[in-house]
Amino acid sequence: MKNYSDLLAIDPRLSFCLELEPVGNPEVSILIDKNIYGGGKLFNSISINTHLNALMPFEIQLELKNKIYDVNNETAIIIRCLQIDGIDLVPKFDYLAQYHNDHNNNDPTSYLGFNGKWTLTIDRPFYQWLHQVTGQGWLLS
Amino acid sequence: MNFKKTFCSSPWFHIRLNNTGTYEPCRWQSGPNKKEFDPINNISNISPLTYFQNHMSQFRSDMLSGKKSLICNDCYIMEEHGKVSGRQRQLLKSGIQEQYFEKSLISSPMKPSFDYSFANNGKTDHFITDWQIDLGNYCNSNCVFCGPKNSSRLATEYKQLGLINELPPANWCDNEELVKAFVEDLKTIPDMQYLHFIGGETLITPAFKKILTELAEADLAKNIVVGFTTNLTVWQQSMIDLLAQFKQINLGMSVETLTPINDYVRYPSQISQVQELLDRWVDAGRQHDWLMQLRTTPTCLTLHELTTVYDYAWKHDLSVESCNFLDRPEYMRISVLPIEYRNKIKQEISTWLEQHVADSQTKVINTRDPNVSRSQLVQDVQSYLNYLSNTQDESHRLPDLIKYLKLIESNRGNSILTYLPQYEELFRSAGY
Repeated sequence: MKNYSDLLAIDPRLSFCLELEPVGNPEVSILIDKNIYGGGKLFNSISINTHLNALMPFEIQLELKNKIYDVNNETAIIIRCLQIDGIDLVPKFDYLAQYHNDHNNNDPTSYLGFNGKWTLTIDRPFYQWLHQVTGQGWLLS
Repeated sequence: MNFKKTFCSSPWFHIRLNNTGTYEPCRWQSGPNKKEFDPINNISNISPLTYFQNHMSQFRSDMLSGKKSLICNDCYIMEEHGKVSGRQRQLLKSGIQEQYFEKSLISSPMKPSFDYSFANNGKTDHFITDWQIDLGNYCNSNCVFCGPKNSSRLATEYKQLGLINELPPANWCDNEELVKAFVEDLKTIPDMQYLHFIGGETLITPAFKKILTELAEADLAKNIVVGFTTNLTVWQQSMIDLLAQFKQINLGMSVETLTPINDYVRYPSQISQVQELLDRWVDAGRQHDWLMQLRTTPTCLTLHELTTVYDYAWKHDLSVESCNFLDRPEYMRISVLPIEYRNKIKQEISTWLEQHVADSQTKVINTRDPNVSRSQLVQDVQSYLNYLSNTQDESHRLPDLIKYLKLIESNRGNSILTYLPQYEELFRSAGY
């Protein structure tokens, strides 16, 4: 990039990677930026690679469903990797995710062992969000 | 040169008002094009906003064209040696991080302002949110690396010694009408966020108190962050109370070492008093939750004991910052030290680095963040090791240094050898 006009050639997309590992055979739904990525029972680890808009807010939502605690106590989803543009968001930013579940256990985690939704909200363009959550100080507008 | 290495967002939100009332585009500006006094781009002639929005257009255009600017040279040098530059700090304020340059630039909240300037020959409709206000040279110190433009006492001494014929031009803020008009400007410019004041010694400069008082009386203090630097020779409880009314204070405390050489370099301060006031200011800062930094100007006379400042900062979770690697006076540059003397300091710095391990290895650009102060310290000390290793030998300037020291000592009645006996052989060989 030699000057400002070269910005026109910049790909405004974020590369997104999510790796989930099942414990037992959890039933899961995956919502990334309002798009559904599969669903149903998870038998093996999966990896989702896609692109997101760098200039728009988005949400990542994982839901564990229909777990019967008496029968499959060890059922869970582990977020092995959540990366945007190669930047690891888990476990560093676990604490920013909202985890609403049927046990009211809201401790920061990437181990989803309860029926409920784990949601990470990027409420502004990703790099503005990163600026804020990594304590980079003022953000003038 | 790569755009990533030259672009700076500062011209979209910052200006400097220097001692003569002349506007400058940047607080870190250096180089041959720097005008100490400009009657056109001056507070007595045009408003700050006119200068910023229109007269800085060419600078912004050059920035967008990817041109390497001479006035940005100090920043390029700092980056070369791993020190955090003004450019990097200013980029960060607009959300642009060097390691994610392109993506963070297109995501920047200031992108529409860059686009506007790109389409309008560098003009901007943005306002000045970040100011540096130079309050003149009214000062009670005669620091050896300073100059008449920044110290009234040094100006008087220089004139007595025949080093200058004329005293520097009058300070803009000695003119009460200009100060009054400036405060009125500040009150009306939207979105003002940061005012950084430097002296002289800010705390004894009447305009400092006057400007802050008027802003507080206009009920603007709660929205404004104030930064200033003090030379740790002054304590005024009334100023603490006034400062406490502002949204946030960024307090800079100038000290070179916490050893007696500080007395020689920051003449006529006394290290016992400096240390006492340093502790008091740090206590006051803690009480009011201010961001605090120790401010240094390392020279060939102090670098060997610079780590005493970092020790204090480490102990108190403060950061340390210097504006640049000192360039002028040339004979006080760190690179004036011959290789064998540098090697000894390098060894001491290396030992300090071995003994002080930071939690994070990530580069700290937001050097005011108290949560990463120790990482910042390690990073900054490392930059001196890099500088000592990589800059060329300028020991040919030693005779100029000695000539200068002998001259000022003739007036002050002190001797550098009292403070630096280990440099006697070196200084004698250069004419001491």
